[in-house]
Amino acid sequence: MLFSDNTAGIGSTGLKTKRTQSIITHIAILAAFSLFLSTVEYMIPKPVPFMRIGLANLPIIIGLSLFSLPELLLLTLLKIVGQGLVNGTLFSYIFLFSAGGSLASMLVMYAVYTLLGRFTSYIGISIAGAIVSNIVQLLLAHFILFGSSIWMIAPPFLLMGFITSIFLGIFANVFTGKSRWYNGIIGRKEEGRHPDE
Amino acid sequence: MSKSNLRIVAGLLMIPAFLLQHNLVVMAAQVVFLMVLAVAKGRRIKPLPITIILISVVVMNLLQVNGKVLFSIGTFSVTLGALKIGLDKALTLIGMLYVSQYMVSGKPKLPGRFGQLLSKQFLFFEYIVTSWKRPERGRFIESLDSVLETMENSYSESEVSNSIPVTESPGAVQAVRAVRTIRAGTLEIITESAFVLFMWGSFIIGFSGILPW
Amino acid sequence: MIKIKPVDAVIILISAILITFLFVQTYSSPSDSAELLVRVDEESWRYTLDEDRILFIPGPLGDTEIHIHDGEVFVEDSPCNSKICVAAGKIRRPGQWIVCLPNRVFISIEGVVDTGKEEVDDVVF
Repeated sequence: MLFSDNTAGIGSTGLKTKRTQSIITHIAILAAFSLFLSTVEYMIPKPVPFMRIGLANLPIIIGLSLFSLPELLLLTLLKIVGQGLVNGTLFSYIFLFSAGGSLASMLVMYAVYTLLGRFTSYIGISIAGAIVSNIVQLLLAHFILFGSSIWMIAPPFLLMGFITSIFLGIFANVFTGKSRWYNGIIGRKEEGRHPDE
Repeated sequence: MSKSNLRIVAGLLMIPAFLLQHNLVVMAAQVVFLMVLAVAKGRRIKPLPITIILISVVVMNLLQVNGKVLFSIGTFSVTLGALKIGLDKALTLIGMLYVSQYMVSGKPKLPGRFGQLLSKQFLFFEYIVTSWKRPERGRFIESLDSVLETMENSYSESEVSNSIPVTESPGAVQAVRAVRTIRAGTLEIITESAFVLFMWGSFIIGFSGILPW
Repeated sequence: MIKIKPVDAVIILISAILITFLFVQTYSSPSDSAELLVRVDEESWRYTLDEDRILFIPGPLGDTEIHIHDGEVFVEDSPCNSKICVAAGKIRRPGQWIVCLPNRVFISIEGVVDTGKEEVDDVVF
């Protein structure tokens, strides 16, 4: 259903198919942006190779208000599989780090957004996601690669994630406030909810 | 079987031969072999990240002393057991990285609707990469919006025909065309089998314990 | 556009406290990780205490069997006649040691000696 590519939609199913189609398109667009941002991030020089800014999580933050949980899951999967294909890490351990961190942070951000969304902006959501993602990655690093010594670098690693996630949150606030594209989708979504006209 | 899927299958058959034995000499040989495979299929080897991974994983593991002291630098002792564990983990990581590079080098087409969605994602990705220009100061969101809207509109226009939405960029076409199925020839199947055999042959040597470390 | 809402503030605060706590925890207290050091003449071996192990350390008479169990170190068996080292019992704190003179095996725990905890009686001869 979610993946419906039935383009010959006629009659009553036509509208529904079109809606599904446009959601699918939005997911693909945001997933593509995530891929683009991860290549941008790759080009930014970093002092420590395992340090992440998490730019590629921005589309997921934006997606929180646009998609349902299964759709967000799909977006996250596209992000991690897409990155795995571009970087060639799909079948390696690096993929576990990316998948673990992204899935955990998406779930936490979704929980914060749905439970506390009224009392929080994207800054809090982004920080919560980054902290959880970093902790999951540290745990994976502990068990797969480094052993317990990894916790010696945990504090700066988490601090870095904390700081960058604040900037990502601010950007998400600005983007959701100003973007025509985003607000257009939100507008249409609201219309769909109240079909009075 | 398609050419790109053949590499996935070959890679999946190689992985246990690499992961299931821990003789460092054999592991190093296998890593070099996997690097050669990946490079032969056009993937680049970046020496700096590999060196950084190798050194950081080994050093972090050396901190957990274990075994005979080989030498000491100040109060820091390099122990044999910790060195072996560190090298094992680092080689495993690097080897997996290259077997993975090799496996995706044929631009595999993932099956099903998820695969279709993934190709759509890559089309949009190519479009963003080719059309993105550094925006003027203070007009960042506007230029982002124009890229997003172009993608959305170009898609809905071509929606009915279900054709490729953004065909202007040659890169995009290339990216999608590359995943078209090319059947694997007998020669390819034989070569890939030889690669898999090499990995399992070295596995047996490593497992037999005739090599040190 | 930087409108901070109440839960934002709470999340920022919790994260800041967590990270500060981790910094203090990790770097301020001297590392309490004690290590086992075994020496035989010029050779030496080092192990962490957090993993249980059984070690066979070769001395002139044969292998001295040393166990690491629950952070404690003891000699299980020794090729010497006196077996004083086996009788010495368990050691766990930095500064404590066991020696097997006939097999020239010197076993000690290294690390930051916590003078408050150490009692003279703990040193096993």
